[in-house]
Amino acid sequence: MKAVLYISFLTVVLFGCKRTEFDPYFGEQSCPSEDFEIVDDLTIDIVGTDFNNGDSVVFSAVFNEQAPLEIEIKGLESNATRIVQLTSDTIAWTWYGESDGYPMFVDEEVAVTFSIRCREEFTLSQSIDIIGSDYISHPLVHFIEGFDGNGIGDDWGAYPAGDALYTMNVCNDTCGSVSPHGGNYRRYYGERPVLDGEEKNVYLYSEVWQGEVEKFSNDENVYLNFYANTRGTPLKLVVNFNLKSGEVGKKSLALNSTEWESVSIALNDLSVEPGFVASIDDPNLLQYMVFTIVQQEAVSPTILDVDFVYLSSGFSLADAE
Amino acid sequence: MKKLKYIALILLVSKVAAQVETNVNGLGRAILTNNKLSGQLLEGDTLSPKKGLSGYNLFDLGFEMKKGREFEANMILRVRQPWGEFWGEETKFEFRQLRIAGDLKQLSYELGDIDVVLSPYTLYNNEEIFREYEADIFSDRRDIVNYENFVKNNVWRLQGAKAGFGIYPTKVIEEAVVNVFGVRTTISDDINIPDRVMVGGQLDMKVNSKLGVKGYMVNWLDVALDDFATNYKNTVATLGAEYEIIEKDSMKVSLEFESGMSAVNYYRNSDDTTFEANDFFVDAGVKVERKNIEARLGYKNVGLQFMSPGAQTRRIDVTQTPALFSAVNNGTGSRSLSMFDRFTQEGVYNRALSPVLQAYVPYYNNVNPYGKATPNRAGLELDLAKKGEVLTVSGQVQKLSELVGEGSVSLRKFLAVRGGARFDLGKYLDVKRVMGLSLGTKLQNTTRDDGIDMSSLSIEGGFTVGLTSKMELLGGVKYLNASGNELVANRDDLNYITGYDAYDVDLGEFVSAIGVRLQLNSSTNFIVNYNAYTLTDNAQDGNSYRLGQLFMNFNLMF
Repeated sequence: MKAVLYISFLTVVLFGCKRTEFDPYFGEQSCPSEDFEIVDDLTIDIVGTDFNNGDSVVFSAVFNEQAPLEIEIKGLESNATRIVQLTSDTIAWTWYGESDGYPMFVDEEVAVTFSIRCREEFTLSQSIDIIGSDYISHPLVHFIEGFDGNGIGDDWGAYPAGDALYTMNVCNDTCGSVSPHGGNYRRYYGERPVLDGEEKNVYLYSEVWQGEVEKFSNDENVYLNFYANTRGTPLKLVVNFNLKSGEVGKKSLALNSTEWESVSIALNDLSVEPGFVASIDDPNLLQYMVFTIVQQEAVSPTILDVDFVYLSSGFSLADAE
Repeated sequence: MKKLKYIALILLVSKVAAQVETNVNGLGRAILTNNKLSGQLLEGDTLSPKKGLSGYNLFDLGFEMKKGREFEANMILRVRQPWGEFWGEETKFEFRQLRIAGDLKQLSYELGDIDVVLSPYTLYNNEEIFREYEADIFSDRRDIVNYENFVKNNVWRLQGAKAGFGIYPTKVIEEAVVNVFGVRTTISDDINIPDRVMVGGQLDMKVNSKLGVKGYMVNWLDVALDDFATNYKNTVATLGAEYEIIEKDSMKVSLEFESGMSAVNYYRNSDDTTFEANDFFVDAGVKVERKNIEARLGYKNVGLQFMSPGAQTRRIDVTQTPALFSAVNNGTGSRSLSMFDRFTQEGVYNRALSPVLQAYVPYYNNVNPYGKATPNRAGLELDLAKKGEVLTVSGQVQKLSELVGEGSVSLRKFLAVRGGARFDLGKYLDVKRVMGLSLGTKLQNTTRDDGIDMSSLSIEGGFTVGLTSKMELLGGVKYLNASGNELVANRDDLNYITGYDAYDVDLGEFVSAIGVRLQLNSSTNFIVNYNAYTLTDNAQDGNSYRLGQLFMNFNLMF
């Protein structure tokens, strides 16, 4: 009798409760349905492969329903990757040569895979020879400037640092060969005379940046990263930055390199947001920066070649390299 | 200065120890490994380390002080020194454990670092992989990792307090035991991350000789702050029973049952979102025991939104990078956790409970990656076992399916078959020498109509043979072959599936090891063995590699 009661109790528990229903399924779509059909084939359209000149590769397809798909691009030399997952019935996604993080793409062959999840039979694979750009797409990395092309963006302005004896030459496309990351670089070059007995630091030249930067998603150190080469000349790079609180921060980094390398300056626990947005109440908001090149050790000339400049949060590109 | 403090503390402890009943124990360990990495993974890689020595010395000095039944203090002071550091540099002193315990009349209590475990659906530290027939040579390594992570059977090591008492026979019940505990699982930053506490307990009642009833409850809650990031509440309550319906001759048949619910309420301040989910599970079975043979047929049904972090937190965090040869691809990439790392790397085990279902590698365990409490599973389980002094054999079949599709209207179907045997040849031949053999296997398959299909087969075995009374030869192998494709869900802090990690695998993993274990005296042993691991990845070019490791371990316990 007790056993009957026990089993009855179990039956009630087993079949007596109701659950929340999920229609038609739980979570983001993982695979196309059984009715899935391709309306327009998967296509990889190579508009151009010189990403320094704004070329692009376009991935497109049309389906009869929403479907999850993945585009994976891998640099065979750099090991750089760009992986994109999309869910849509009409795909038109353009690759401008950016990578997901460090390392970045260089001038190399890349393997491209365009696939629909759970439908391996439709996978499209292709190899493309590219000329790499300096663009990283990462939520914690903000691309400030790359000097692959001619000229620079509107975010930059320049002025001499107040030394009447000196004018620094700045050029993008006429000063040297291609950097290891492909494309041109910006060269700051000057032969400021060294005065008798002069050993102290001499401020030579400054650039100012103020721009639109999305806020990083954490509160870790913000790093300013340069991919640079001083060609064996000692110099110091000083960064003055203004915070929303009105405070001015200052950091510096001594450089003397004969090879191209990533160098990073920790700007401490700052936030980075679109400049001058009054509604954002964050005293540590980074609003603009002034970069100054400082002559060191009374050595002339002073050379600083810069290929690209990034802000990153939580990690420095110098450590990542 | 810090070292002086520790010395002063030891002296103080020694002085106090003179007044009470004391016991001093210790564990010393010296590990030295010589490692080498080679293979496709390193092709073109000029920067990542490829070989090296590593190891450490450590000593855990344990003090137990007891004053009557009411008070007992247990603490372990650890000194750890990595190999290759001199003059005390990098030597670290720490308190590894502090626990105060005692009996106050009928009430037993523990404070500080406590071990807690309830049922597999409420609070339970699940095994990371099927390893019932793992070779001793691998278990020795795993024991070190477990010790370092406070893993003992299925307990979680947490900080807090627990108490228990028994109830004497009454007219209604023969006996009952009540245990309660309270722990803090998250520490507040005093700004916006609140303290998270877990309180719970169990009631274990023996109604009569045939009926036993158990109740478990775990409550989670955040201690409110003015500017809080989250407010998490979760109640998990279950009721279980074991009822003996037949006892005749040497056969016993009983019904087993555990069922319960979870109710989550989670508020996220950043986007003013509240998530609520209530769900339940049922696990029922019939168990037959005759002499040393045991069989159980069970059915379980665990809802998609049954959320029990204490039972669903994984023992291994697969997102961690192994400390051994962590960097690859010229330092730009990380080596993934391998089958070898899973039982040799001390830093990849979870020490905190997670309310979010964590990532897992499907080819190791896709059927129940979160233990018995894995949500969204229903189906039958059959267990068979024959336990003997000479031969132990067991097997299990699980046939489960999802209750709700994950990102698809189709449901996954799971099949797992596993079993093995442990044979004591020494006892069989009636000789004193240790001669043990073990062999186990596990096959699992996952399918879904819309294209998911993954299978994996693992085999492991080993031997332990006494060469002399103090020297044993040990050997073992582990093999895993996996092929197919699967999607593992990525989840946000509300446990909603936001995307998937695609696994397209065609790989084989093989670990082999051989070595000796020298018992120098009753409290000291020395282990030396050589381990070879190979990953053959047919799906990803340039991912295969070999790892060789000479491992030496000197152990002292008193």
